[in-house]
Amino acid sequence: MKDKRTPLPWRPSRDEIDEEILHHMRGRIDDLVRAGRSREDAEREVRQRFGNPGSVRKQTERVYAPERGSFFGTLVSEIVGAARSLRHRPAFALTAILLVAVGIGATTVMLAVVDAYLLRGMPFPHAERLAWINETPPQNERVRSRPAEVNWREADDVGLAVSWDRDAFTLLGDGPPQTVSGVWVPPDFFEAFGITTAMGRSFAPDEIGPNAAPVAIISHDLWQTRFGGAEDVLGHTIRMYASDRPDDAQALTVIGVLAADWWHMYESTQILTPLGSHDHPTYVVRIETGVEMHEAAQRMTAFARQSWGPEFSDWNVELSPMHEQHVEEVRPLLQTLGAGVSLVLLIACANVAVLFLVQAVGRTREFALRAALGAARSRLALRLVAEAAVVGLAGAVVGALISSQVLAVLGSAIEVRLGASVPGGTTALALQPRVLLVSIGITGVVTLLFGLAPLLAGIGGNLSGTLTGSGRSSTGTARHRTLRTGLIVLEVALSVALLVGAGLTMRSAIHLSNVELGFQPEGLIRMGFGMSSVRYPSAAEWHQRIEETVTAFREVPGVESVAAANPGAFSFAANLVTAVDGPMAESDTRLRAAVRYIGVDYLETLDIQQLDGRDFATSDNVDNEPVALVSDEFAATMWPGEDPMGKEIRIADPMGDGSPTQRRVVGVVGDTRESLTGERELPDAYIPLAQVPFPYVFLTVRAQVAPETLMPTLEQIVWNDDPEQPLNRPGLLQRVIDDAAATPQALARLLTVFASFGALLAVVGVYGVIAFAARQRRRELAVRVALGAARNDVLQIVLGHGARVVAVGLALGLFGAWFMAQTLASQIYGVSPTDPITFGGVATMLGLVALGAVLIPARKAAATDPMSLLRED
Amino acid sequence: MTRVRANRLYGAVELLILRSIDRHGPLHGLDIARAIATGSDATIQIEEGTLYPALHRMQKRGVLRGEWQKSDKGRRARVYDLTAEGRAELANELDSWVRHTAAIRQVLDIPEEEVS
Repeated sequence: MKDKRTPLPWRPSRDEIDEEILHHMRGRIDDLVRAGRSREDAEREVRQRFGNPGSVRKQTERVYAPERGSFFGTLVSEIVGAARSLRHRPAFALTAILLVAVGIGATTVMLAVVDAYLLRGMPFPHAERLAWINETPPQNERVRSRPAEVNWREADDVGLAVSWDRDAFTLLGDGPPQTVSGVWVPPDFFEAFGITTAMGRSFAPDEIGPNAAPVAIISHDLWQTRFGGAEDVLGHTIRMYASDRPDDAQALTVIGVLAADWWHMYESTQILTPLGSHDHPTYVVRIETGVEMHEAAQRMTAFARQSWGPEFSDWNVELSPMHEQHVEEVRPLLQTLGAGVSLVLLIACANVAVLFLVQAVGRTREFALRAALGAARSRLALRLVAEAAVVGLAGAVVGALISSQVLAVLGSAIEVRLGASVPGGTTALALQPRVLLVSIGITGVVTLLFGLAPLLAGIGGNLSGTLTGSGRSSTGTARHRTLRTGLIVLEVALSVALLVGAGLTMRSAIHLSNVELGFQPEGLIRMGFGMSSVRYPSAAEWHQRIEETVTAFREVPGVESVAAANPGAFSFAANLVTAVDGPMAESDTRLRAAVRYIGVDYLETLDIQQLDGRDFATSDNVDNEPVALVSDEFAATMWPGEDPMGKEIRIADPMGDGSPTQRRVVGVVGDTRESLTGERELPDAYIPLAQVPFPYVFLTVRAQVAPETLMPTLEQIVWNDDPEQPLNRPGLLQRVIDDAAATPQALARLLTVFASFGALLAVVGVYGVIAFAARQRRRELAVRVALGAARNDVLQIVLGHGARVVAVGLALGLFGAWFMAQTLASQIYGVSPTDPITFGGVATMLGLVALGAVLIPARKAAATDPMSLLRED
Repeated sequence: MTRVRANRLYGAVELLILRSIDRHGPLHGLDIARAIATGSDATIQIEEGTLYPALHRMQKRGVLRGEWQKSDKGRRARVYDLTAEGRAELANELDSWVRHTAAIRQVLDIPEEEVS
C-alpha cells in the first residue's frame, strides 16, 4: 500500500537523528566494556571518538539542508514537537491545562467584573464631567442642622445641575394594580445624561411644573410586559398614583419609550415623568466643558455660601465624580476578591511550574542528549517554552470558555451580591475584547514562567554527565531542588493567606447571622401602609383606620399579634433627644437616638424585652401625658449610673411644627439593632404612635403559621376596605435581614471556594514534591538502610525535609495573611483582622494536612526493600 | 590532491555501506560500522560523521530504506535495508570500483603481495 504512492522523501526529526546517534554511542561503549575496558574509560573514549558529537548530527542534518526552515520554521517545528511530546504524557498535559484553565478562568471573570465596575466608567457621554454635589460641614464639627437647599440652576457658571426624585408609582387600569419604580425628572435630565428615547420623544423644556401636560416616558421593559409591546403605546394614557399621594391618581400620556439597554444607576426604573417644579434637591451636576472639577467646586462653594447665609459660611461644596461615588462600596469588595483570585492564579501557576520541573527531571537525559549533540541552550529553551505555550494556550482557551459561561450565567447574581448595579447594566459584564487581551497577556507571562522554570533550575545546562549514565537517575541539580521547594513553600504560603482571608470572612458571616438583634425576626411580615389624605383628612381618622386594620389583621387565623410603627424594625431612624435633667442636660449636647413611634403590642409582636416599668397601653394617646420608652443603652448613655424611670426627655415632634415635646420615661426595654454590621447603630427610644400619628406606618405581623401563606389574606383585607390603598414592600422581615447578610456571606463563600482550591493544590503540591524527592533519593535511602539505618531514620529524614518545607510555607503564609487581613478589615464584622483563632486554626489545619501529605511518601520510602532498589538497573 | 581523496572515500563509504547490507541483511548504523571494521580487520574505522550523513543521503536518494525497529534490548534502532534501486546501484558501483581500482593499481604499479 505504502509503495503504491509516490514515496515522500522521509525527513527525520532532530530527535530521531539524535536517537539514532545515541544508540550508536551506547553500542560503542558496550563494545568497549565487553572488550574489558572500564565503563568510565569507554565513555571517555567514545566521546573523544565522536569529537564534537553535535557535528555528527549537524552533518547529518545538512543532508536535508534545502528543507531546513527559517526561525519561524524552527518555531513551528518545536511547537509541533511539543504538542506531540505532550500527547504522549496525557495525565501531565491535562492536569497542567486544567490548572491553567481554572486560574485564567477565575482571573478573566474577575477582570471582566473589575473592568465593568471600576475601569469602564458610567455609560454616559462625557461621564467624567458628571459629579455628585455634596454639601459638607467643616471637619470635626458636630452637625447642628443642615443648610437650606441651594438652587443650583441659578449658578450658571458651573454647568447643568440635575435633580430627580425616585418614587414608586402604582399603575391602575391596563390590568391589576402594579407598583413599579419610577422617577420624577426635569426635562433636561435627558440632556444631562445623554439619554435618548428609542421610540417617541423626550420631554420638551416646558414640560415641567403644575401647568404642563402630564406626560410619561416608559421603559422598554414596561412597554413589553404591561403593554405587550404594542406600537400604539405612544399617546396611550396611563393612570397611576405616586406613593406619597395615593389619593391623587394622575393620567399620564405616554410620549416615549426608552431603549432596552437604558441604564441609570437604579436598575428597573420603569417610568419617567416631569417633576412638579424646579425646586427639587439637586444631586448631580454636569460640569461645563473647560471647567475643572475643583474649579467648579470652588465656584459652587462661593455660590452656596451666599445662599446659605452667615451661619454656614464655613461649609463647603464638594464634588465627587459620579462613577467614583457609584463604585465606592464595591471597590474594597473587588479588591479583596481580586486579591483572592490573584492568589488562586499564583497557586495554580506555581503548581504547573512544579509539574514542569518534575517532568523536566524525568527528561533530564533527553535534554542532556540534545545538549550534548550540540543543541544550543536557546533551542532547548525554545522547546520548553513551546511546551509551556501549548499548555498555556489550551488552558487559556478553556479558561476563557469557562469565564464567558460564568459571566453569562452568574452575571446578575454577581451584580446583586456586590450590592451596586453594574454601570451600563448586567450585559456590561460580558467578556470584552480588552479583558480577553489582558487575559492573553497574563497567560503569556505565566507560560514563559512555566517554560523557563526548568531552565532557571539548570536543566539543560551541564548535563554531559547524565548522558552516558545507563539509567542512573539524577536527583536534579541543587538549583532545581531549591526552585521546586521554593515553589511549594510559595504555594503553602499563598494558601495560608487565602485560607485566613476565607476564615475571617467566614467568621464574619457567621457573626452576622448570629447578631443579637434584640427582637425575633422569624415569622414577621412587614408592610408599608400609606394613608390617603383625601379620605382620611385628620390625624384621628388616620389613626382610626390604622387601628381598624390592625384589629382586622389580629382576627386572621394564624396571626399571633400585630402592631403598627414608624419606622419599622430594622430600618434606620434617627432623631435628637435632649434630657431635661441629668448630666447630659447640663452640657448643651444632645443624644442622637433611633426614635420609633410605635402602636400597642409592638414590643410583644417583635419580642423586645421589657426590662423595667411598663409597655405602652391604648390609654397612651393625645389626651394623656406624653410618655416614652428608652432602651438599656439609651439610659446608660443619657443617665449613667442613675435610674432612668421617671426621667424627662425632649424630642422634636416630626409631625407638628418641629417644636420639642417633653416626655416622661415610663419603661426601659432591651436594645435592638437596625443593621447587622453595626454601622449607624443608635440607642433606641420609643414614643406612642397614638400621640404622634403618622400618615404612613409599617404594619408588623407575627405569624404562627408560615408567614408567606398569610400575606395574600392580609393584602385582601386592606384592599376590601379600600381597593386603591397602597401597600408598599410587603415582605418577610427575615428576608430583609438575610439580604443584609448576603453580600458578606457571598464574599465568604467565594473566598472559601478559592481557599479550598488553593489549599488542595498546595497539599497536592507538597505531596508531589516530597514524594518526588523521596523517590529521587530512594537509592541513597536504601543504601542507608542497607548500612544499618533503622526504618525510622529514613522516615525521619523524609518527614523532616517535608516538615521544613511546610513550616517555612506556614510562617511566610501567616505573614502574608496579615496583609490580606488588612485589605479585608473594612469588610469583616465582629471579628478582628488579626483574629488569633482564625490564624491559629488555619496554621494548625493546613500544617496537619500537609504533614499528612508528607507522611505517605515518607512511609513508602521507609517501607521499600533496600536490596530490590540497589539491584535496580 | 586532498579533494580527490575525499571524493574517493566518499564514493567508497557508500559502496561499503551498500555492500555490508547486501552481505549481512538489514543493519543499523552501528552494525554497519562494525561490519566494515570486522570485514577490514579493523583497518577501516568509518567515522560517524561520515557514516550518518551518508546513510541519510542514500536514504533520501532512495537506495536505502530506513525503518525503526525494537532491538533485543528494547531500544529503538533505525535499521537500513537495500531498495531495488540500491541493489542496482550496488551492482553498478561494484563493477565500476573493480575496474577503477584495477586501473589505478596498474598505474601505480603495485605488486599484489603489498596490498594485503
